[in-house]
Amino acid sequence: MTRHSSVAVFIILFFIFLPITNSAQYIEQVEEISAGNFFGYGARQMGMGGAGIMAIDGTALFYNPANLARIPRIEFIFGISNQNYRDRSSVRPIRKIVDYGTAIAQVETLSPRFQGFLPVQTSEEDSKNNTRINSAIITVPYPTYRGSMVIGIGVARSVDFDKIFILNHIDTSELGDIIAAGSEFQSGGLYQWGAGIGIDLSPRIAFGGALYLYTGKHDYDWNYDLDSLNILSYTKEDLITDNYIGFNMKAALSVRLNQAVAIGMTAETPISFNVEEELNGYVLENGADSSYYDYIEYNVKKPFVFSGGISAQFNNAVLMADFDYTDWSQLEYGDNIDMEAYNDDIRLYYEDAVRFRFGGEYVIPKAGLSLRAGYFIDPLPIKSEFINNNRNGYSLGVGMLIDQVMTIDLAFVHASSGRNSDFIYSTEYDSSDNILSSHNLIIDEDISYNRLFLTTAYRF
Amino acid sequence: MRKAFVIFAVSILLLLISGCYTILQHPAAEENYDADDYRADCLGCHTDYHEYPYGYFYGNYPNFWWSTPRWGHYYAYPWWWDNYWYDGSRINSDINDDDEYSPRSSSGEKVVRRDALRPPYTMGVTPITRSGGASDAGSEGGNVSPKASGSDNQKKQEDEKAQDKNEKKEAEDNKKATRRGGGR
Repeated sequence: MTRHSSVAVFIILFFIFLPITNSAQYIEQVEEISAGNFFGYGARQMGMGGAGIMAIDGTALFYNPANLARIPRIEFIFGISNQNYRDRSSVRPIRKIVDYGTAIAQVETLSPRFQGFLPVQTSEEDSKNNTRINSAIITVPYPTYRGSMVIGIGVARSVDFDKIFILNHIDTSELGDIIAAGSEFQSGGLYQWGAGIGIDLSPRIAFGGALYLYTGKHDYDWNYDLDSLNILSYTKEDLITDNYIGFNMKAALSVRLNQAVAIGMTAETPISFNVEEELNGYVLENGADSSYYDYIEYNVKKPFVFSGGISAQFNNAVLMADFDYTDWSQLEYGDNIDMEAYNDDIRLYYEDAVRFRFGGEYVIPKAGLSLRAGYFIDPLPIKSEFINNNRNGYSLGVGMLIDQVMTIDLAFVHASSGRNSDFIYSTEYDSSDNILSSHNLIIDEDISYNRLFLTTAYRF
Repeated sequence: MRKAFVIFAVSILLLLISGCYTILQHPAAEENYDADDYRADCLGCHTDYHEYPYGYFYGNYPNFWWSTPRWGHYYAYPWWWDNYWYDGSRINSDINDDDEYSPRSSSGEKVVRRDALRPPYTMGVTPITRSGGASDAGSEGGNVSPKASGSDNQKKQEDEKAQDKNEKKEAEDNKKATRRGGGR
């Protein structure tokens, strides 16, 4: 038996005799889509790198409700957004074998992917566009004799699920090819409905609070085809729909240190999402098809978020900087014992993250124009071994004041990041359905997005 | 979560009822208290009034808010200080042109800075001094300063002029002033 023959036998045995019901899943099955996918709202803020904690308009309802107190007129703000999301995936020429039979899973890294096979295609790229309503907020200042009291209600699209991923790799040998192709299509997002109030506590200090209700839907579609040496033909499709509903609240302060400098801080309570998940699946294996259905309910608890911001005004120019801190390792599943089992994995996969945004605005008064630019670091909330390069980006923006009652703002945001993940190629189970081992490919993803925000506000 | 909600709600309620800085209703004035008394005594409570030309908005007023007032109007002018839309005395008819935009100026002159966006309940009345009289319109620096010069007669004449002007204006503005808290 030649070396190639023995490899072929291994591959054939590998795909024929080992069950693969769980193939085509990431090792980070624990990955929670609602974590760390803040989308952003308000073209003015997004034009300044997303620095919004000290920006004064209706989006303060979500960024910093204390700053509602700085709005002197009845305002209606409406925004839309467009995103071009691009993902380029590459399969590394190595694989990992994970042995789950021990107390702590043992990982053995092998190279090359399969001996005797040469990679023909290892990377693929795809993109998708989405246009969404981004925000609609009305703020009503109550007439005051001293101080300020402003009420705001509205909705903003705060978390984005619009993503795409495509996998395409071909290994060739004298005996034939192993061809694997997968495409993952995700869409949806979370809308944050808010009602809040901002009140002046003194000429320099404003307090704000808001209650938020989150609703949203995540549609996940995974298609995977594997053809191994013309011996195994395998097709799988999963359609998963998650419906989210949750609520939380935010308390905020805005303080003017002097005529030019102001600071703000907010604390956002954990969000408790209730998730209803419905799965419809289909498998076709060597001509035999089967389908499956599942429905589960569980809770996701997103941790506290603490934010701070500063703004400085120099005549026609404003500089703003924001940060926020979230310890994503405190993310938790609940109300479902199977999901709660993932909580240990969450602590291994997620970590805390500090987002930083910095931006500026320059006003050309006579022209009624504002020019903006910004930079931001928005770290992926996962451990560094899963990150190739962290998420950061820049933004540009322009705003117009029309008459004395209306603004139109436009912002362009570009960001990129790189990450790696395990792709479980095949799984071995024992008779009790416990995973014994898995063969994983390592996939690198280069992700980038361009976002456009268009917001208009009318002050009555 | 439930505990956090209760704490949050209680905090808001306490702020609203604890007599914080923000006042939604003016403290009741004595009966038979006429508009002149009202103005004369304003500084008893509002000593720092002119430090805040928008009444409540403590912040930076960039220079361009003055040279192109529509920015100031957009960002800082409370809606309840606007003229009624049906009021014939509405001044800001051309809100598209900063050069034409001259709020609170009835003489056709461009108003001085601090006067430009003064609250309507002092409309037509020159800033009040601590001595109870009236100074020239404006107070560019925005601070209230006692009138340091001028004889009593001169002051009296000025006061009388101002009072005549006030009375005329009051007749026009009484309806607005009631709503905005300045007149009776």
